[in-house]
Amino acid sequence: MDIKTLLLCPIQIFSLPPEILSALTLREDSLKSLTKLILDSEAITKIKEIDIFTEPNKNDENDPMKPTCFVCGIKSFENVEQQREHYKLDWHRFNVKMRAVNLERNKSQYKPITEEGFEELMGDSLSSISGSCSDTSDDDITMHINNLEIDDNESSEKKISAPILWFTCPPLTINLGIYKNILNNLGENAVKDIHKLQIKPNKGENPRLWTMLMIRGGHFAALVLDITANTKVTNAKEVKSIVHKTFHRYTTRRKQGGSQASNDNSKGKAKSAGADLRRYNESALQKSIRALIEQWKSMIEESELIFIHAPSHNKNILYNYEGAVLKKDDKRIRSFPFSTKRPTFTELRKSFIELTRVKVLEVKEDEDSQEPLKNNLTEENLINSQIIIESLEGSREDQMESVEPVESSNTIEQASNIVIKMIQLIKKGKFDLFVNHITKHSIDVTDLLPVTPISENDNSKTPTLLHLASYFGHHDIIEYLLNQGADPTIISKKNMTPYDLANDKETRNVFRRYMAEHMDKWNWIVAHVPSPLTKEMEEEQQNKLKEKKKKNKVKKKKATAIKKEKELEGKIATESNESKLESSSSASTKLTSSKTLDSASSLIGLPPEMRMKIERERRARAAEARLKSTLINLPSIGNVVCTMCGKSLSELVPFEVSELKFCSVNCVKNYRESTLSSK
Amino acid sequence: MAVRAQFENSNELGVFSRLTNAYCLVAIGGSENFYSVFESELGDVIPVIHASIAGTRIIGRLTAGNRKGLLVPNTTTDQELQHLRNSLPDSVQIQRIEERLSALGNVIACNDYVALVHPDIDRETQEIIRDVLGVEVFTQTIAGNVLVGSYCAISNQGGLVHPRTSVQDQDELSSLLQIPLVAGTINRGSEVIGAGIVVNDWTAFAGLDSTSTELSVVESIFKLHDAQPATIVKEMRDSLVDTYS
Repeated sequence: MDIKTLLLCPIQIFSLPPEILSALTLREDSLKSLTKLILDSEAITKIKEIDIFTEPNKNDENDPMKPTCFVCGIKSFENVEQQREHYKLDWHRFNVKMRAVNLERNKSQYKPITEEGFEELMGDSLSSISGSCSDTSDDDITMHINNLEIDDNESSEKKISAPILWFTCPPLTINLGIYKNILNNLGENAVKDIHKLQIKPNKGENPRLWTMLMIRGGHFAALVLDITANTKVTNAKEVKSIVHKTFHRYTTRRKQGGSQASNDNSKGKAKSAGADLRRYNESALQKSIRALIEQWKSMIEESELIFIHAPSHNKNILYNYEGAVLKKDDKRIRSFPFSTKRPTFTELRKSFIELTRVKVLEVKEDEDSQEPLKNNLTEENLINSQIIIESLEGSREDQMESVEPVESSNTIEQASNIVIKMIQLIKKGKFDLFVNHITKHSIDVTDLLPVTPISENDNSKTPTLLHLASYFGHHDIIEYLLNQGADPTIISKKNMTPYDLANDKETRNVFRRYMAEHMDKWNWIVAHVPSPLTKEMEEEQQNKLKEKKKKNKVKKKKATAIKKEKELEGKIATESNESKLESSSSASTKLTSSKTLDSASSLIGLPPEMRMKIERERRARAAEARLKSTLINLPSIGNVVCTMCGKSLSELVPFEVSELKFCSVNCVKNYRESTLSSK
Repeated sequence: MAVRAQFENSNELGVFSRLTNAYCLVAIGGSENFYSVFESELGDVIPVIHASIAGTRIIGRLTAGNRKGLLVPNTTTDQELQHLRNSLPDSVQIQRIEERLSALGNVIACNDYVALVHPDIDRETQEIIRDVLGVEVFTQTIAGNVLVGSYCAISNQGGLVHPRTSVQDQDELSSLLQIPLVAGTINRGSEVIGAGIVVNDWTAFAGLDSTSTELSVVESIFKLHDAQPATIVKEMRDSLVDTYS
């Protein structure tokens, strides 16, 4: 069987091709690492056993009081002096520190570093450490310890992060990777496990259930599915579950992060309303999850495997309560050996796909023969089968495209220059030059754009000239290209047709117009062009637009007219008000009093000083008005002139003597003299 | 004899006092009753000095010392240092230490010959400890705890260590320190031995809460039954001095 045909569709673990299945063997290096792992774990258990039982016995056999240093793993010194000397060594100090650090992190066993190992670790800096007066010695050790801690973490992560077992199938040059967590046995029996996992198609088997659960950050998602019904799924949407359920509750503290419960435990109960909400939600979530698990009890108990993702305190929701369905030590319970996103139904389905898809790693023969397989295990080389397919397709396209400029390097260059020029012309929208260029070099516009050595254009985005023209929105070029027979149904790598790339309506209309004229030429649905645009339609649309505009104009006119009227009315009203004011002020005191009352009411709310000021002004105005009115009233009474000199008194304050009016003191004097003389 | 005492309603005597074979420091400001307990036991043999360190009364946790010397942290004021200098016997060296871990009582456990120290203590500090206290300095933890001074109490006669110290560790430590060790508690189950008890070669003071069982363990491991200052000194000379001095 050819690899390529095999890899064309992703392989699922339940339906491995029989050729592969029969030839499947565990890869040697993974076997080795496995055996090493197993050996390690055995060794650890042995060590533990020794710690508990055998070691004291040994001591009993020998001298029970023989000096030791357990921290450094030294079982016996010859005498106390040696022991004491040892205790002063940096090596010992290093081990003591490391053990303390490990204890802090609750690691069960600290494996002491050997003296040689320590010397290696310290390297050149060793001399400086043993030098008594160096300040840096201490820092060196702490630094090394820190480094070691990091290394330690990495190595442990590496142990965890090899969740995939690799298999070979001899005639083919590929390796197959399968998640360990799916299998029950590691080592030689793994292959048997895979055989067991196989599901024969078209055979009415009993349902085989898997349960998947995720809880994190107030989100819960769970499903039970029958793997026999999901043997051929390649897409998360195709995964069929028997039951599924999600809960979402607000439990995490915004901005600060972390759950309310953990915060309560560490800092005491917070009293805010939000904290109460979250506390309530946490308990409600727990209740509903447990109720759900109880409800699904029969299915969960039937399940072959149970995948659970419940980090840290979320575990408490699932285990260790009265009537708990799930037991922590259940052998069926597995973790998700990869990072998952927020627990949702789709995330669960995606994880199912990820779990069951067989990873395919192509092995290059020369590499295989020269170098050990070590390299292939690095994550960069780890290729999902899908990716391989893509690359295969890509290479095929490349081949197709590179057929044209095969002959010699010169012609290739020329061709590429022509292409580049063409592209530039399109970008600049020079229609005439573009047409000339095309006719000159007799370029077939219907072809895909060839890959140019100077990859100025992004072929993945715009694989054809039509794409380019559409993207840059040059209508004339699009029209020309379409008339020349360019295919609008070709899609780019991102599934975009030229129509999709158009940025404005007018460009899209060019396509629609062409569609209206050539309905049967292309499959317009594939080209993503929604509907044709005939001339009539356009006219109609234009008419509509015109009407709309007219309406708008009329509306505007009306609006302005109304506004003007209102303004006019407002002016008239204000004028009349003013006149009223004047007349009323000149009229009876009753009116004014009522007015002052009104104004008084309007003055409430002002500060007292302001009020005083305004009132004073008002009074002054009133007085003026009164004066004016008296002046106006004077002529009606008569006596506008001085009785002595006959001068007008209109703008003077007259002197009054016995109801006669005079303009000045002199006039009064004269009047008196005249009256006296007459007497 | 092991004596029960209390410092202002606190059973953690080791926090407020420091007892060695050559002197006894007690925190100032305690009740007279507290001092009288010490005075009556020690008064005619070694000086009982009222002191403070850096203005605080937790002198037991801040200082470390033995017959030959006293170490105080760098937070100690000049006046306090002067006062200590004036009150201590001339044979006792006093040294202020520049060390990041300033609670010296918590990170150093010592008798007159050996000292256990926290693994993070400076190499320089270790040298000072060796020179001033005249001891051999070992880096070790007690039951996984790096605060060796808090979790054990040792004298030249014996030592009481954290209750969770494994038998191996006890054997190892006792061979290292060359004194018998026992794992136990003080103050009715407290595992913070260093804070609950102060001890020298002929007497011990434990918190008032200590049960009689705990006290009997203390008396037997520290060999306090018939201990007298004079006999102790004599024994010491006979058995140890020629080996280590």
